[in-house]
Amino acid sequence: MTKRAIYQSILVLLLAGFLLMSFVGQAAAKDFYEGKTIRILVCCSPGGFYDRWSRLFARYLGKYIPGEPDIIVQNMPGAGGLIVTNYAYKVAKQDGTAIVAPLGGQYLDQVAGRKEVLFDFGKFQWLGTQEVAHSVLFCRKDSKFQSVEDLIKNKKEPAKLGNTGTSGSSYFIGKVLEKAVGANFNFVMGYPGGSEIDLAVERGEVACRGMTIPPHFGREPYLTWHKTNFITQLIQTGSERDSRMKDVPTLGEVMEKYKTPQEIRSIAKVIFASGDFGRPLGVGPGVPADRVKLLRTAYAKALADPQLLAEAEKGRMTPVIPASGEKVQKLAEFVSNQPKEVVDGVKAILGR
Amino acid sequence: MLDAFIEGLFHVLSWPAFGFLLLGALVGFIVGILPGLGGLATLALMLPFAYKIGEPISAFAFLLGMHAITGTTGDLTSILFGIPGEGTAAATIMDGYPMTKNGEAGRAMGAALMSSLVAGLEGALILALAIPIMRPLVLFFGSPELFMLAILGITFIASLSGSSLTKGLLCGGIGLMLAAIGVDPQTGTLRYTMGTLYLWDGLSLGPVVVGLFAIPEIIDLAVRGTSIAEAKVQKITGVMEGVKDTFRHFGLTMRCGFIGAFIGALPGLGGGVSQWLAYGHAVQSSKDPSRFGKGAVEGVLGPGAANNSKEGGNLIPTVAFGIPGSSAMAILLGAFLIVGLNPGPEMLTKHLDITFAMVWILVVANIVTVGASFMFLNQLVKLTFVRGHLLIPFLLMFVFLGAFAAHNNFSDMIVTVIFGLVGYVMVLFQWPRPPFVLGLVLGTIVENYLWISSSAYGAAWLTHPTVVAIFLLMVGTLFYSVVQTRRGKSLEDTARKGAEERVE
Repeated sequence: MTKRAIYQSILVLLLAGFLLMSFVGQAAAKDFYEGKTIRILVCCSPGGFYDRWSRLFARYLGKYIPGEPDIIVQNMPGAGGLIVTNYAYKVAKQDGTAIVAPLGGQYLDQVAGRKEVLFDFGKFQWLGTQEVAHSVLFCRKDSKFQSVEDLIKNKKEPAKLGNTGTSGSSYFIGKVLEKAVGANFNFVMGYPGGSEIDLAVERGEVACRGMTIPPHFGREPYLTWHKTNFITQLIQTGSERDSRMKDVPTLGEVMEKYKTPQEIRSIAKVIFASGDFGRPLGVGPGVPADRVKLLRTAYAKALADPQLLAEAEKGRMTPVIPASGEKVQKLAEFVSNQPKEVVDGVKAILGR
Repeated sequence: MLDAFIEGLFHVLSWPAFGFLLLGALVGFIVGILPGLGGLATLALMLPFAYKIGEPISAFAFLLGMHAITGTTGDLTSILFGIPGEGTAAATIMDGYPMTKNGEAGRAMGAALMSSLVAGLEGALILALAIPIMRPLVLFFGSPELFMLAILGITFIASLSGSSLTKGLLCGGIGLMLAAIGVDPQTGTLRYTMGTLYLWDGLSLGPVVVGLFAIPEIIDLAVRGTSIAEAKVQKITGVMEGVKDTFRHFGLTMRCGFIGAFIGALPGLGGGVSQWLAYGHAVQSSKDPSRFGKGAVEGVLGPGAANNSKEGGNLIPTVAFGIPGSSAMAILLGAFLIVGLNPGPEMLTKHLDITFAMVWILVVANIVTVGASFMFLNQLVKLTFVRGHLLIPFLLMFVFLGAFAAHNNFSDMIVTVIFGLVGYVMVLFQWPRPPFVLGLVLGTIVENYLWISSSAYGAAWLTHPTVVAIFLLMVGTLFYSVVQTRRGKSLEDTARKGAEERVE
């Protein structure tokens, strides 16, 4: 036997060993889930879209995971979603039995350098996301604010923008527009929730509100507002125009028009990346790779299940725009590693 | 409209909707009785059944029927053990539990259930009557008006203070201060969070209330070494007595029912508020406020009524705008969509019969539960005669399970223990607890709506007619109660003088 042949056979053996090992690994992962219970840890209280998506997955994901584990949903709301994300990263067992459903924009706390953040968003192992949830800013039709120009023009009586606190999409859009194009807002802060802002818009207490797009086309009072021409959409934050708002400019287009400096554009990009995250699912950083692979496959299969899609459709949790775990992973790594000037800019805008 | 009204009733009584209603009521009953399983979580858990049921009336019969019941049954544990089954059933403890101690558990439960039924019907009626004027009604109350209502609520501290107004005001003030804990919505600043994530959202009402009210009673029970009911009565009478009480104080029951429905119709005030306002009103309107806290049946009727009528009120913004009046309604909105309905204006035109069917579901579910409850109330009452030492472990388990399950957060249990101790000390030194809770509940509301009002309207909101009207009402009420107290005192003085003179 020549030296070369020996090397070759060693290589073959190694490869075979590797294949065998990975097969054993797969089998082990398969066996692992048998009789186990997976918890989906949700950022939010029962009833909202985060919760409803998690409960939908709880009923469909299990049958695509070998071993068919039981899946239960555990709501862990609190501290703007930090409680569940910290828990999933630091406390939950890293064996693949804890899936986390964090807020799509949770990484912003990390970017802004909040000391309470115990996680690295880029090191979670993402299974994927089922939707894109960019934001839209709208104002009452009978108000003075029908375009971004109007927002810039009206300095004396700026648009009243309804907000819950300093971490909602309404606040983000307002702050970024201030910075990027010199728009003017009167931030009306402290509404207990989105519903109360909607009522405030109805009664004319505030003129404008920002929110994510899926519910904007998915439920009342917006459906009626669209029908009765009660509101005007001024701007949307996705990189492309939503098919239902073809004549509403994107933030990118507006910043182009107003020659917004590149630095501020980068800041806006990081802030509104939350839209691309949608409502992602992930597992902790220590979960073995073979189980992550299994879960990613199961997640993709569940999202293609016609029954799940029918239920999502019925519950108006649409449109379903899936993104793979790998894609979400890249995005998470991108937002987690930003140069200092962007980080400082984000901090300034978020007021943290 | 009358057609739709009657059609709605037939919808509910027809098969299988009625079967689903019974099923929902049963689930609601069990969940309401067992602390630890919140009504909200159960509703979310049961929501997927709406996909399977598919047909709107049956789905609502199941979900709404279930939800309507949790409020009613939550009162029962408050009365029997001093443990609120739901955070919104805490005010019932104030007089319900003392009644149990006096051996009047049956009467208290009778009163709670009957007032729930009467007010449930009232809430449904109000919803039905409000249908034509729903939209202007809800829009009429903006942030300045909500602010004023919350301030009006704070003036109730005076009547909830018991013997010492100073202590009451201090407790209310401490409650208001503790309400400031958490993330400040104006700037995102963390206030008094002491480095914990848990306190970002402020003190959570459920664990505070359970600790404040249930723990002292359990300690007391352990110290006394007797059963919960102190007075040994031979025959457990009184369930019917409680029913009769409802009608003896019919005006009060109806007024408190109205308070519940009204507050329920205004998103932004929350279910924690109405029960205390109703209780405060019961105390304030009584000829002898000193009886309260010692087992006055009016103290059970008031919150019992407000707890149930609020469901009818909650439905008003849900149906009229598709804007949920409470977190439970937010989940029900999901059900609307699943069964193919658009909550909103359509519910007042095309689907008016379904809207009325919802009214009827509230009514029928209440009747069914109250009827069923009466059958085994006497069995429940027997529990209060069990020796305390046997009961305490179970009560403690219930308390901590209840505190934990709401958010699955261990810190909630710590808060329960801390406020349990605070509550015990307060009882020991006769510091009133209701003003404290009222301060805690209203503090956030007052703060937020004051900010919103001033940034949205500048100073102009001070001259809104409704704001001025509520202000005058407030001054009037305060003036009236001061005069009443003075007159009461001077009557007492005259009586004492008379007695002294006679002695002389």
